[in-house]
Amino acid sequence: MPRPLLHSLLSLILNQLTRVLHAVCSVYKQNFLAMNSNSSNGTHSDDKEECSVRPILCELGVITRPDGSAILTQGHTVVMSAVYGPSEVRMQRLQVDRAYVETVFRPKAGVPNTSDRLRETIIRDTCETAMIATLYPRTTISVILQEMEDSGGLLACSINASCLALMDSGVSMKFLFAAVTCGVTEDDLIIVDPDADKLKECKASLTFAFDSINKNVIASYTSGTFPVQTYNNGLEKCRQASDFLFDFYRDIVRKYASTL
Amino acid sequence: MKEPIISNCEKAFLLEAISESRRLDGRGMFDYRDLSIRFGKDYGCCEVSMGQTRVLGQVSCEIQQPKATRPNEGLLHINVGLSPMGAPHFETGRQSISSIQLNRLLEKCIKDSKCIDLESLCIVAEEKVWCIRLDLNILNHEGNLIDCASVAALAALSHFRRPDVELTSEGLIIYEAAVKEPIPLGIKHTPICVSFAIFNKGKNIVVDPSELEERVAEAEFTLGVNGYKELCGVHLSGSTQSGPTIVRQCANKALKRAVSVVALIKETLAKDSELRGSNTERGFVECVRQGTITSHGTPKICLPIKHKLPVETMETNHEDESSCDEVEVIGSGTVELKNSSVLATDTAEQVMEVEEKPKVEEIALSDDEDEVQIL
Amino acid sequence: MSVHIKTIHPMKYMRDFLARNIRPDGRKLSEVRPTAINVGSISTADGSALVKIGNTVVICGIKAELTVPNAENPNEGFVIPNVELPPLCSPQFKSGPPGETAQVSSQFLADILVNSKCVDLQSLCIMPDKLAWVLYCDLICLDHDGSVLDACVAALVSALCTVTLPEVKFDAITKNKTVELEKRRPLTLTCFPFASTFATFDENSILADPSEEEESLCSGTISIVTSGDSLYSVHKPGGCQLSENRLSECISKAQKRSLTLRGMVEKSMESIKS
Repeated sequence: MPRPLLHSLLSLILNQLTRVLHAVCSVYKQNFLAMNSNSSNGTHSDDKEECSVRPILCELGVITRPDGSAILTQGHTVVMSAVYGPSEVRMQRLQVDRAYVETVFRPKAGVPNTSDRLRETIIRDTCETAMIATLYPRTTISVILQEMEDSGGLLACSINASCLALMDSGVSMKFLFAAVTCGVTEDDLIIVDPDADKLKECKASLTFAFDSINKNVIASYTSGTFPVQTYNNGLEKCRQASDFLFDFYRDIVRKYASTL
Repeated sequence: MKEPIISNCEKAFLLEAISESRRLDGRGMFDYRDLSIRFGKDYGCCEVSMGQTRVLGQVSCEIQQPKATRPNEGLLHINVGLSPMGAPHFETGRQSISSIQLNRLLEKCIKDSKCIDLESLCIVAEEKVWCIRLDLNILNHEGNLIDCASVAALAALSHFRRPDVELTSEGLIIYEAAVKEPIPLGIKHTPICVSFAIFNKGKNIVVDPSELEERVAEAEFTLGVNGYKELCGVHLSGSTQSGPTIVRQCANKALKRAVSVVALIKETLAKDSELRGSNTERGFVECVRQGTITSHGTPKICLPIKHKLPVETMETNHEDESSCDEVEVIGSGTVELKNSSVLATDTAEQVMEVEEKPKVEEIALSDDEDEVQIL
Repeated sequence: MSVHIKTIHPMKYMRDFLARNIRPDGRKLSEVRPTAINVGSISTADGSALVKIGNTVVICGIKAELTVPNAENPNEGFVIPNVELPPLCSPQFKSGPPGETAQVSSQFLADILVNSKCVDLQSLCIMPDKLAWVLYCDLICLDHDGSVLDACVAALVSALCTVTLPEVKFDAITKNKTVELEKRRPLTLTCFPFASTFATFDENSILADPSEEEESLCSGTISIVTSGDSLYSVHKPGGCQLSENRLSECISKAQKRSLTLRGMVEKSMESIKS
């Protein structure tokens, strides 16, 4: 290939690349600002935009015993999460090629029931997908979640809290994950991250967990009846909303790393 | 997971320090850790922390049939959940000995002392009564669970409100909170538990023991006391050969403590109802925002015996803090000695090194030094 | 030879097959196993059905009992599904109280009943606040070879189709109830939800109606419950990340399958009537 041609080709590629990078940066900046204003003013505006989420607050390392812990608030839903491990495994649960991941979800009142069990399996499978369990063969990694206040979106908040606790514990992960709930109203409109009052008016609710790289769906949990088109709409809106969470994670890590 | 073992070295070190009237977290023998209470948004929900020990309390209620033997009394259930969040050796599902003991102690202190007016919970005798359920979840176990749990229990019970009901010809109407103001429980007195760890055949007594102290102590003495300076429960776990004087000594301390704790609960309750009245933001969300629920604010590494040192050495100690990050990583605060079962001896050595540098001339620790090297 | 590869390198074995767009048992990726439905299998039950998907067999028996409705919903009856996974069906289960999988399956079925409202609970009420029917639906898995949720949902729905309830006369004053066993009326379902499970091996290989072996080698499953138009549940607890297009593909496949299954149930119902 003649040299000038190669040169021009290279510069073209470079040009394109910088342009893309710029675009990415500016998008990120905007999101970051949106998130910041969202979480700092803290007021819950009723005329929420389509894809905004309720204010998020979080604190890592809240408790001393576990290897990683976090408290996460989304709106008025509060979940505390803890991660122990990799630690010794019981013989019946030993897996020779990977870590055994267990999840415990504790409601704040009453004994755990079967719907908490279902919740546990969703959280466990989501965590297991994200973490590199094969790095810790013959061990247990336990993720424990404690409901502290529930005003809608408890499952999503629990999934997010478990991600933060895993981050704090230093267990290796392939990607981070974030979950968003949306409600479906009677006339098939989507409300992203509704609170308990709004959720009551909804005929269905959809919860999705996304990975941080391609924003693909890791987990999906639904309740109520809804048409296919609404499901896809809800998925798309939640995917957009998950950006806020991933930016929030980034912000948390930045702050956390500087205090360490 | 099994409970980590305490090495002989740790045990000996703690006992030695206790016999010199020193505690590993730098407290005096009769110093309590900081107690703080935070109420949630819902009625009957509170989180209590005593140092780093944390308990979440939640009271709930439902309508049930009363017991045939007590047809005109409501029911009170107390359930302490040793969630694996609190410590890795707590397991879900099974009731362990420690959870049964905790449950029973709280029942003795609260239920058997008739602190809740159960008769006022009756709706229709022999048919419908309120069943009050108190759930306590241990979030973090750093010793003295019983005291922390009892404060959480009392705070949650006094914070709780049940919905108002009315009996009409058509049946029972349960009013929602928005329609009719919910009703608080009738609380006759305010019992809490105060625990003491007893060492060296009663020669040394410490209040509010940490986890390590609890496990090394020969006995733990728990007293149920109320705000009116009355005893409502005495329990000794373990065995110690000491005279009756320590009972009186402990009781006096416990009575004083109860008065101050009850005052704190009342104060926090008053603040909460003020916030509720003015409709300001409250609950755990606000706590996180204001950083009152945090632990990062409190020093994670508190090197033992530090406060006894002269000021200059304190400074060197602070420098050490940043350089000895490993200490923090392995454990935190007082936990550093026991949290690492595998590395127990290693950790002990590291901690020793950190401490020894500044305080060789302060405290003659040569004996311990030998011990470490032998190990 | 292939047996050896399967034991030593199960993942490679699977991957090699999938690279050629075929599955170890000879099915295409989106091909489901032969399905059979038998209704009214248990003559002593108030409603029953047996569903066989490939080797997976689930039997469902429904018992109707009279009870007092809940204080919160005084004019509603109950439908309580319970899934049992006895050691008989697979060596991975132990006897004793229901394990996690069984509990989760039961809850999943209960959620579907609530979401789809396929049984009108108010029709189960005989006298508000006094008397109502409770339908205990016991599902027992006889052979556990993958896609058990599909079989469970199908068995539950077809068993509910066969339920007939005797007429009950309730005297509010004397509180006497007379059950006329001869006069039975059938239970009407408002919709027919069916589940379709897919296993995700990776982003590009999604296996419809996976067998036990495939499920264990795949990273996760998706269960879609639909009646053809409305969705009642899209349950994907973790597993391989999927793009939206892949999910939509699965949903449309599930919709088609639910229509076929519905046809099967209707045919079998007709056959017992005639």
